Amino acid sequence: MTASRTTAITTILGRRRRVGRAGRVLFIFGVAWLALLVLAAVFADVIPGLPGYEEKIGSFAQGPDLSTLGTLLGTDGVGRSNLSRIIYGARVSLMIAVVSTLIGLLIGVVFGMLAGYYRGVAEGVGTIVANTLSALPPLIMLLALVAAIGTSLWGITIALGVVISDIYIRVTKGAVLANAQREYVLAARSLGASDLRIMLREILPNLIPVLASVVPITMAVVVVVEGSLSFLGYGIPAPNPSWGGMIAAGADTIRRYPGVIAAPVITLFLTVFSFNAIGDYLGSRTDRRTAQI
Amino acid sequence: MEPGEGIAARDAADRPLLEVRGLRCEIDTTAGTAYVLRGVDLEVPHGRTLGIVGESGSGKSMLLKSVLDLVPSTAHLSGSVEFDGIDVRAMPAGQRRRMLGRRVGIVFQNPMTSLNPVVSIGVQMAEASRFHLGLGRRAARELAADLLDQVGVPNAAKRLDDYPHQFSGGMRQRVMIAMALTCEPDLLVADEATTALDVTIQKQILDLLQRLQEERRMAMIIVSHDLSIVAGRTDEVVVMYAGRIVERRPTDELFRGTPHPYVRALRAAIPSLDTPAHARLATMRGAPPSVFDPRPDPAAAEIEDLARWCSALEESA
Repeated sequence: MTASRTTAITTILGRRRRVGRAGRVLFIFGVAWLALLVLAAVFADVIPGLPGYEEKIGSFAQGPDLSTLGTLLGTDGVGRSNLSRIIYGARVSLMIAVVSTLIGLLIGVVFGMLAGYYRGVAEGVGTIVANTLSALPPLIMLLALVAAIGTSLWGITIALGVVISDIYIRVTKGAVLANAQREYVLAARSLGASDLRIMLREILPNLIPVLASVVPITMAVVVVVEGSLSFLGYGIPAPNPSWGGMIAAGADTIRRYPGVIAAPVITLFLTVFSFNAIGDYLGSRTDRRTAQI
Repeated sequence: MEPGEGIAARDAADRPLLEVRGLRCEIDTTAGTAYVLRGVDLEVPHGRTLGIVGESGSGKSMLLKSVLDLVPSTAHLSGSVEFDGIDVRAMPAGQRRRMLGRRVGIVFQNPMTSLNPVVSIGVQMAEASRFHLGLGRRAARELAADLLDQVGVPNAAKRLDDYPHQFSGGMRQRVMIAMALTCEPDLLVADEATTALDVTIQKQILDLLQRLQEERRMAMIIVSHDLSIVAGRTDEVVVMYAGRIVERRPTDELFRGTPHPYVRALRAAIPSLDTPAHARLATMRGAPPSVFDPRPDPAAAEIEDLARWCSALEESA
């Protein structure tokens, strides 16, 4: 076992080189940034020296001051710690990114799988759902969905999940179509496997590499769109911090105090950039893997 | 045991294992109705080997798929299929799948696509035994290792954790054969099982199939477009052309000489070692009839086919 495991690892490492050094560096950077963000968000309450997100720690719009942790990134328009608000805001942003992506995945994999496997009517329904979702302007549809479900954390999360599910329907359907033609599906059927079993046990594992490269990309989209919603005032209700809300607040004073808006904007940028770098890297890796097989 | 199986087993000795009568398969496509099988009769006795040969598109694979209930839902089947005295087509789908899944093993053409690329060999092999034989995880794994060993995969127990891309084409086909043998089937079907392999590996795989068939007293169906694959390894050969069986003979008779013009034309197309370099081989004029051609008049169809078959013989004469 060890011998064959070792060869598997070396072939993967050998192939990885072709992804390109830059892609790998960006991937590592992305993972590191997200890891830092997740750790900070999880342990926000116990980080020593980190003020609460509503606590006024100084005068408004102070520049970065390295003397204490709270003032590391300066203060916002009412004197609250930018660092603290970014970290607590990360809880919301990352939670929404993960959960709404899971919701999108669930909707997309179910519809896409049925459409790609059964073709016919199911394919028609899947295509119509996906086309309808992508035909409507996403922000308008989001606002409508949020208005219908309610401006709560869950309302926004579900609405975002629905909005991104069209990507997953398409990607899943395409991958299922390609895999359902392969003989191993026929082989499984000849062994007596039911449709459900073939879909879950044979085809689903083959979707993982394909979906793995799409997941980070939609997470990036979700982070941006959630920020936009908060910016427009339809996001997480105050006083909970959110990056979009911070950007909106900072936008009012951008001329005189550009430092207030800089912190959340840079955080958002780095986060989206990291998701995309991870997605690109996984995409280039999985393309090669499927091509090899 | 399936209901009805016990009664069937009693007079199994004189019945063929597989009996197909008047099997027709028509598939509705966007281009029209495809007449894939136009009335096929076939028997496979217990423990014997049947070869099915024919050109591409003659219906060899579709015949197997129709018999084994693997056709798409848009296909209309008619005729009867009896497996060990049980009317397969009258069974409810779930029951039919369970019975055929256990009693028929299939080895498909392309070893590159017939194994799931993201599931390890051990898990794939264990699926059938856990599903049909109700084995536990460990017992299924032991059975898989034992079967891999029997089909000549070196280091069988260690290779169960490997994935299909870590096997060569010939080894993958051995894995497929081991999977097909899992439930000790009564019938092993090799659908162009060696077509994708190079000639030396082809011989190894065919020898393996033959050895296993003799050891386990299974019936076997070898499907190929290559006459040399079925020569010497089958008891009987049927020749398919345009969805029908046009000739059926014991293997040695077929190769010793048959008056059938299509078979003679096919044999004329096999190059022999004595053929001088750059010699032209016999070819048939035109193309076989389209699957979309309903061929309503059997007599006219016969004349058309005969004309095409004989064209190759005239050329070589």
